[in-house]
Amino acid sequence: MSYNPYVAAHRFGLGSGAEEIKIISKDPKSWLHNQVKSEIDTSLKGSFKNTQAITKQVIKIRRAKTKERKQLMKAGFDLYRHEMEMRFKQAVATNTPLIERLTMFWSNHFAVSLKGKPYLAALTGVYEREAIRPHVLGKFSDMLLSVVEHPAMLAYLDNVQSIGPNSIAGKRRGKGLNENLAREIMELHTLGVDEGYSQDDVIEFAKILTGWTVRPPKLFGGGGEFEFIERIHEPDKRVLLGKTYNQKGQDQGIAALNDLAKHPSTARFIATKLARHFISDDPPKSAIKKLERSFLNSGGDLRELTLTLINMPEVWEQQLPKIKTPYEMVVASFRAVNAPIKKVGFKKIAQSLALLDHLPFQAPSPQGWPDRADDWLSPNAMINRVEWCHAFAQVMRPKENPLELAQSVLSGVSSGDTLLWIERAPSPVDGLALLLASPQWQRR
Amino acid sequence: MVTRRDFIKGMCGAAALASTVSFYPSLAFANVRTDKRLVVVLLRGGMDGMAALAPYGDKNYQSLRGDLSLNKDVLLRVDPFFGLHPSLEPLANLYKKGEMICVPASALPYRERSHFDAQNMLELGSSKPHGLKSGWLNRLVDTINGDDNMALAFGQGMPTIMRGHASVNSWAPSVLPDVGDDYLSLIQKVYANDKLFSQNFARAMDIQDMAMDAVSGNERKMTRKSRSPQAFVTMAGAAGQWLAKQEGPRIATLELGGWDTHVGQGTEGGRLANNLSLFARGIGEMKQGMGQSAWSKTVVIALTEFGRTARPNGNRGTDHGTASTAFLFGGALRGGRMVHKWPGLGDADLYEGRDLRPTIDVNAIVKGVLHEHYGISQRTLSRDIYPNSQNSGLIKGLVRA
Repeated sequence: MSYNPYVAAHRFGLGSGAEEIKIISKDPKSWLHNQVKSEIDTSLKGSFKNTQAITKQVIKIRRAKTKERKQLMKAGFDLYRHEMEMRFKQAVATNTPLIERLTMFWSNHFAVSLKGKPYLAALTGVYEREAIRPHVLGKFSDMLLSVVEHPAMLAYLDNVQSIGPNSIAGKRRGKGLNENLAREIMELHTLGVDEGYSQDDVIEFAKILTGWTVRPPKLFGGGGEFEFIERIHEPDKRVLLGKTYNQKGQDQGIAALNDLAKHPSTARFIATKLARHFISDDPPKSAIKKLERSFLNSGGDLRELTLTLINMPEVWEQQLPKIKTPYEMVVASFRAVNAPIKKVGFKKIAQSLALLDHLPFQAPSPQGWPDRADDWLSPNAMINRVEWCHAFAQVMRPKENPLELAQSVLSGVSSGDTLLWIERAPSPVDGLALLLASPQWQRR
Repeated sequence: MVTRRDFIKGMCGAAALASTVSFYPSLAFANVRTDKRLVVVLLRGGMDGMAALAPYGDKNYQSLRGDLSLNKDVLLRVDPFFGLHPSLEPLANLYKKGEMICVPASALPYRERSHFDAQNMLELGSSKPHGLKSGWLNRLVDTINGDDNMALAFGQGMPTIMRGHASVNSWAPSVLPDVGDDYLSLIQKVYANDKLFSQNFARAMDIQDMAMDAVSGNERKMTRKSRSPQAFVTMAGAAGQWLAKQEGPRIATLELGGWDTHVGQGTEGGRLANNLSLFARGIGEMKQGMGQSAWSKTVVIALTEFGRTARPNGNRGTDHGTASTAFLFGGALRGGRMVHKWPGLGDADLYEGRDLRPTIDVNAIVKGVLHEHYGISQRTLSRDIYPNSQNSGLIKGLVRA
């Protein structure tokens, strides 16, 4: 079994420059193994506000009058931009890119998007920092619970509006159940669509989750954090997927989430998504089976699952089966030339991502961004990529033909005529653009 | 004129030629390619249907609309009961020619007030905001066995209505600096050995060529400006020209935002009037770009996600409401008329006491058009295009036989 450094650097990492690929080439597998050791820090470096503070800010937006709301929205988007800049910088500079990729994978799996709810912009960064990152090498069930308890998710999928019809509040106000979160947890986060649950199960689960909400800000401090509120919670036992949940209060939901987290359908669904991300758009069944078994045997241990992936021959068999997403392409381009962000400025980077239709936390639906070549390579998207690579190369102003750079960063992958044409490029800018736009660099 | 692709073809010789010849395999055999055109214009933000089409004949109109009501004299009174907003002047002619239908008091089967969920339902053709994974136009392409070149979305990014399994294209004026043909021909060489990249790149170049024909250079590379609302008029004109082409797209989408008029929406003039004017000019440019022959085979459906509150709010604007007005255009219509079941504007007539009451299902309009325009059976419509929509029925007689 040979471990291709390009696969390690691009499929598991986020692309690498000339120096880094040398290091990876010495032992690609160990390079990956070292990134999932228990002492690895998975956090986003920098100083940030916490969930509670930002949630209070978001609640203010919701309660403000038109004029004030505009200003608060702007402040929310400033915060969003700052978080995204720090996230992008870390993706470009990190020497544990596998952690960043896993973060993006899981944060996309549990997608929160400001499309449709722009006031949530400020919460998206902290959602990933506090609900996703701490668990990317932890337990799936822990990540699931943090996600469902996070104000960003509770607001995004409307659970903050869900009231048990027979709860104290429900009887008084005549307001009702919102099934959105319950449905999406089963369909998108755990079991997968059409995996043996019915509309009755959705309703039962929605009732179980009533009361999972955000504590309103209090006059003398406090508020803005997750709270289980009994008076909104639908009383009584519930039957979900044939099992009775007798627990009182929030324990009912915790028990249900734990059962969903270890359900065989969940294992299969997660295994399939991971295989699609790390192996190919249509991954081999054998690989899915192995991941499924690893998920079940380890009790949903995501470090185990990541190690299973790294150790799987199926991963290393094909050289370049996947297409980089636009975000990955932009990150990889910076990594290729070791460019400081400030040379371009994050504003321009954000504009690039907007043009390429891949701004973080702006997926079109709770399903998150797609993960297949077809979804990312429409003719218009293709032209945008080709033109973007050229614009990027122009800003970088390479002084000499990047043949040497190309030879080292593409080492390990069969580059066809790419190197030949880079060498013949009429200018260093065209040469660099060609490298970044090449099928080899666009793939992973 | 030497097109961008001709140029690259010339540069690269036989290899490139081979890739471009084989790149529409379906076209070579597509002797049954439909000549019917369908354009969907998405009016995002919730258009005030009563501002666009004023029910001046309703006795409660003036009092209910208050500051936002329009004087009868300024309206384009194409009908004894309904009048078009003066900014829609270019459309009045279409109406008189029988190339326009207005459907007032229509709404999606959606009674909440979230833009996002309503737009999702509008585009997915679903009975729930996230009920389906593909847009109904994409499923239409599948249903009529459209080739790779059948559908084109005008605008940045692929709208949900177009997303799905069937292969569709999108085009927008580029906001990046021009890259030059040297670079593009090198790209083609570097892509030659990668099937996915060479095919998609060739398709992209083909679309660029069509853009060359249809849109003037300045508008193709307009940078920031091309994202302005004005771009809608340009793009609509370009869409008309592309749709007229023999091998061009048959199905297109256009998007125009700016309808979310919570504050100071204006009356004869103002923010909403400006937007209506862009809309009307765009439709006019599209018809002109298309020419009579293609226009006679065309239906344009202009839809918004919901209407607005019937009364003005405290900010001389309107808030999210329910029913709005749907517009149809095209030479294929049996037009020049209002299709409606007017609910009235009395306090008791209003939906929840605040919105124009919906009496016609927007999906029934679309299904009616698809049924008559493409001859798609009601069964197929209710199974593949609008699943679970048996109850919404379908409006007949919109399209000429």
